[in-house]
Amino acid sequence: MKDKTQMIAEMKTIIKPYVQDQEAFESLNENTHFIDDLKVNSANLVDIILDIEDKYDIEIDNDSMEKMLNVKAALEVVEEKIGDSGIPRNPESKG
Amino acid sequence: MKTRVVITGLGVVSPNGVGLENFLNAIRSGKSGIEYYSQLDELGFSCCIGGIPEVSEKLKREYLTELQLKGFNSSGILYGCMAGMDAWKDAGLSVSEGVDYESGTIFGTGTSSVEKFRESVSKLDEGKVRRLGSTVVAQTMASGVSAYLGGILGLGNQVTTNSSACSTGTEAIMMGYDRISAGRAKRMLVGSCSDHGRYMWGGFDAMRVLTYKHNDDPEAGSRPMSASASGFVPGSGAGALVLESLESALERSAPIYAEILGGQVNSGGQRNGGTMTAPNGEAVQRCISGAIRNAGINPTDIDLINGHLTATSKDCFEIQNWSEALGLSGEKFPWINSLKSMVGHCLAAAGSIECVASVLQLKHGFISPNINCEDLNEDIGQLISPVRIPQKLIKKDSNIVAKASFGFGDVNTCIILKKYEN
Amino acid sequence: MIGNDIIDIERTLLETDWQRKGFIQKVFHPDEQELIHSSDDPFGLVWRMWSMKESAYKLFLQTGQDRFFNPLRLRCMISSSEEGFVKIEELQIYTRSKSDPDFIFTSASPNYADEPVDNVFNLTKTDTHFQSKFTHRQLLKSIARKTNLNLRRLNVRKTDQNVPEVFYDGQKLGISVSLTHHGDYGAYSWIRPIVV
Repeated sequence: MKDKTQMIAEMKTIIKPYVQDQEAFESLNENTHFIDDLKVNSANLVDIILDIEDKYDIEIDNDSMEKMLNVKAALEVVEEKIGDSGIPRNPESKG
Repeated sequence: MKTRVVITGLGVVSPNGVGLENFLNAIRSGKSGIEYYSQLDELGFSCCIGGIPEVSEKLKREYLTELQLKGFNSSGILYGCMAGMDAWKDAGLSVSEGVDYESGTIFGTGTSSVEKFRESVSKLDEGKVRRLGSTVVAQTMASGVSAYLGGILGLGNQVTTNSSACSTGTEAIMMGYDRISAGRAKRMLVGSCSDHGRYMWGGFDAMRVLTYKHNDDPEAGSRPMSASASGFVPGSGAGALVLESLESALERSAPIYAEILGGQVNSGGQRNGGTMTAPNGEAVQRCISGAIRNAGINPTDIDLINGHLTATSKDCFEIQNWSEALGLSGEKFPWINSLKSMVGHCLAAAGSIECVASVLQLKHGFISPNINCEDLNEDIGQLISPVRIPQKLIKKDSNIVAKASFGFGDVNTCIILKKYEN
Repeated sequence: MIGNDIIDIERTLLETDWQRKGFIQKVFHPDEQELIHSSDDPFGLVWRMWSMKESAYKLFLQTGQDRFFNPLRLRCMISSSEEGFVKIEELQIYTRSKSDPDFIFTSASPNYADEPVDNVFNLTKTDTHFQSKFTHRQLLKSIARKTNLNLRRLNVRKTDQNVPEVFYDGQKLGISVSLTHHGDYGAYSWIRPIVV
C-alpha cells in the first residue's frame, strides 16, 4: 500500500488541471477544500472523480462521492475502494 | 379529595428569546425584543414597531418536517408547535408510537393563520380553488394549532383550542388545571400562540390603541406603568406548559417547577363600566379575590404579581383593582412587573408567554425588571410604593406568584402559582 | 431562501466535456438523460439542468444542511423553456432560467410566486478573488438601492457552509441572497421576504 505522501502527490497531479487558485494548490494538504480553497468549478469536480476512477481502476458510487469535498475525504474513498478490490493496483496497469 | 396540579415542563418562543434558556437570560437582563419594521411604514401603519421571535429556516426544520412545511404559511402554528414540543421534551416526556389517552392539550389562539387565510382568499377570488393545496383547512381552522400538536405528540385525551382574546393563554392554563383536578386527564399541554404581522396587527392600529411615538426608538416603545405610556406595542409568539397531576409527576420522578394552587375565570358582562375593550373593575376584583380564595391563601401571601399591564391608560385602573382586591397598598403591596415592557403585547400568546416568565421567576428566585418606566405614572405611584415596581433585576425567592390577564370582551383570568417544595 | 448559478458558455466549452464517458451518468438520472438525448440542443439542456441543480442545491443549503456533492440527489422537471422544478427529498424548488448566446443563468426559489431580484453582469478580470469581491459589491449596491440602507454599512459574510448572508452594522438582515460567477459573467439574486 502506498504511503500518504505518495498518494497526495498523485492526487495533486490529478487535480492540477482544474485548479483556479495556484497559491492554495502550492500549499495543498489533507484539509484543502476543492471548492473553497482550490476554487475548482463544481462541474470539474465530476471530472476529478472520473479521473480518480480511471487512475485507480475503481468505481466510486454516489454515496461515497457525496463527501468528497476535500483532499482527505478523497484519499479515504480511494483507500476504501482499492481495499475493496483486495490487491493494491499498479496504476500503470490500466491503459 | 382534589388532585393537586403541578407544572413539569416549559416551552417558549418569544420576541426577546426563542427557547427556554434564551428567554430566561433575556428576562433576567431586561432585554427588549421590539424592532422597527420598514414594511409597516410602507403600508401606512402608525405604529411601525413590533415583536417577532427570530426563527431561521434551519430552526424551523428542527420541529417540522419538509412535508409538513409544504404549503405551510402560519407563523402562529409554527410558534405553538415549537413551544409545545419544547415543553413536552422539557417535561422529560417522549413521543410514543401509540396514543397517549391520558394526555391532552388545550392550546389557544386569537385567529389561526391569518397569512394562509389571506393567501387562500386571493387564490379563491381569482377562481383558483383547485390550487389551494391540501393543508389550508388544517392551518386556518381555529383549532389548527391544537390539532397539529395533538398529532405530533400522539395525544389522546381532549385536544382543543380555546379563545378569549388577551386572556387566552392564562385561561388555557386554568382549563387544563380544571381538567386534571377533576381527574379527567393526567397531563395537559397548555398554552397559546399568536401570528405576527400586518394582518394580525392592522386592526389594532386602526383602533388607535398602539403607540405611534416610538418608531425611532423601538426598544423604548413599550412602556407599561410609565407616565409617557401612549398605547401598546404588538408582539407575537407562543408559550407552553405541561401540567400534570402531582401523583403522575412523582410517579415518573419528573422535575417540578411549581404548583398551581387555583384560580378564577370570569367576565364583567360589559356592564358597570365594562365595554368590549374596557374592563368592569368590580369583575376584575372579583376575579382576583376569587382566585385567592380558590387557592386557599391570604392576600399577604402573594410575593409577586405578574400583571396584564399593556401600556395603555388602563394600567392605573388595573393597579387600583389589584390594590382594592388584595386590600394592600403603599409598601405593603406585593412586587409587581409586566413582561410587556420587553416583548410587547403578544395578544393571544401574551398570557402563556407571561406565565412561563412567572414560573421561571418562581423557580430561579428572581424578579425580572420593568423596563421603560423610569418616568413612573404619578397616579400609580400614589397607590403603591414605586419601590415595588423594580426597574432592575431583583434576586428574591418568591413563594407565591399571582398572574392575571384581562382581555377584549371584558374577560378575566387570574391564577395563583406556588413554588414547589418536596 | 434563494439559489442561483451562472455558466459562461465559451468557458465551459473549454473546461468540461459533458460527453466524456461516465460524465452524465454521475450527474443525471436516466429520465433526465432521456431528455438530453432526445433534445435538439443537448448542450443547452445539459447546462441548463446543471444550473438548475446547482441553484436548487444552494437554496437547499439555506435550510441549514451540510454541503454534499451528489447531483443525483436533485431531480429536474422541465415545464417550459424558462421554467422548471427541482425536487430534493420533500423540498420542491421552482426555477427560472435564462439562455443567452453567451451564458446560461438560473435562479431558484421556494415558490412560483416569488419575485427575486436577479441580475447578470460582465466581469472584467479573471482573478477569482476580484470576481468574488466585485459580485459582492454589485449585490450590496442593489440591496442598498431598494431598501434605502447605507451601502457603506452593508457587508456580505459567508457561513461555514459558504452560504452568503448580508449584515448591516453587524446585524444580520432577513434577506436571502445567492451569488455566482463563472468566466466573464457574474450574477446576484436576492429576495426580501415579507417579514411583517
